Amino acid sequence: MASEDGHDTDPAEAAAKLADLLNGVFASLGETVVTFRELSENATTHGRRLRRSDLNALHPVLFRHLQRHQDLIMGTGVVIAPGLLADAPMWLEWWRSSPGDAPSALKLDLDPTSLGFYDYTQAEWYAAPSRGTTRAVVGPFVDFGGTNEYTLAVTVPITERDSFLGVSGADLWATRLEAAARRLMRGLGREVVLVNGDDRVLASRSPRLVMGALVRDTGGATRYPCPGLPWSLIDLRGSIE
Amino acid sequence: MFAQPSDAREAVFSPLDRAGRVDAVVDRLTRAIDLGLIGDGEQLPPETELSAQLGVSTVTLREGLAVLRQQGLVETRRGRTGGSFVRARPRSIAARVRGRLAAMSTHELQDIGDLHVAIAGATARLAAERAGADQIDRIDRRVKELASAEGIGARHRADARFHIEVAAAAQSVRLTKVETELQAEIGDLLWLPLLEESVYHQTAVKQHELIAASIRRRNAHAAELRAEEHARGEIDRLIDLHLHLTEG
Repeated sequence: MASEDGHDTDPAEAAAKLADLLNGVFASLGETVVTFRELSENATTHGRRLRRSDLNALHPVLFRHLQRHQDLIMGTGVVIAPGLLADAPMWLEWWRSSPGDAPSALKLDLDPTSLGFYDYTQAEWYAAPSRGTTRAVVGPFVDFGGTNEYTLAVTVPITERDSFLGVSGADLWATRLEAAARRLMRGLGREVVLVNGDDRVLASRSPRLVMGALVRDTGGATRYPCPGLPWSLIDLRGSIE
Repeated sequence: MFAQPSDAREAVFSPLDRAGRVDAVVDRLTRAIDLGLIGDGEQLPPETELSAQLGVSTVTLREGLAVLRQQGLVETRRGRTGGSFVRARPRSIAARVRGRLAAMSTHELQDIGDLHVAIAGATARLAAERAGADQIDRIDRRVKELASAEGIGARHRADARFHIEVAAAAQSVRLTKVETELQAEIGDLLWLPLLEESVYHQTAVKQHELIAASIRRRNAHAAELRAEEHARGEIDRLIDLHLHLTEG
């Protein structure tokens, strides 16, 4: 019989469902990678380097993804390895959806000498795929100078014959991911929280541990990993809080 | 120059505090040039684009650009390759920063400083509770950047990035926004090459090190106290500099 708090869902099952939350987004990022590789190969065949204007060909794909995942993502695009493009040392081809309006390009400050310089090479969502991580899920974090929102970044590497060309990615509204996750956690006890690889709370039903908090002293807690993601559900009933 | 029909309409229907808006345009662009956000020789975006970004009519923007032209900060060239170009000389940046600090009042500096004490203390405390391991490493890197920074621009950038990094580690969008605004508003004033700036630089680096160490040890109380002490030192320096400039 289900308790008042609805302890009738198996945490391991819920962890598997939570892992599936991002499957659709990852599939879309894969499509972007395929289109980008075609552009890159086409440029190579013609004996020239890629230019910013070549990336316009990505727009239909990116806009489709914005539409498809509008309940979860605020923006999507590709972030180019420094030095790859012929006409820009660093570049993001990143588009954001705006409700009731056409998508708009995210323009960031890429001047290293300015106060607002957005050095994406230092960001974990870029660095991890450049080191070989095939599916990076980073955050939640305050994306200052970028989206300026509480964000999760989901990225995959774009490679061509072993060389790293950049990443294909999407940024997720942390709040919307939390809401979606909490729906899947409805049948779990209030002591069960969803955390990322740093044990930072992604979603919980406990007012003391809201999204963004770090859970410490998790030694005695039971952990249910979300397959394929750096996330897990932890049951804090066994831990000393 | 002839106003386009749409410009004339905008002018008629623009809010009555147009003069204030022109000042705001001048202030914004001057600040951006001072901070190096728009570099010497760089072309400003087309007028329609820039006015949309600033949220003013093109008429207001043009009035603002005229003021900047008189001040020699912007040069407008005609013709196919024409447009408005920034004219910033490194020496004039320090001069303008001095001018801005002199124009503020001690009460205003105290007021902004009080806000920064509150924000710096709160963000440091929350960062000690919430910063991830990678964020703690980034905060340490920002301390080292300030230690090796020379000149107003580089020190302002390194100092601002330290404080903004701490605010982001606190996981707060709003505190990060306020910290970013504060750094843009007063951050450069601290680094004027006056009143033993190298001693102030060493003190600030030492204080950043102590804040970073408290965050690393997850000592929220110590992080808060040290950040507050550091921010109070900033007010003292700003007021000292202001009095030095205005009393000669």
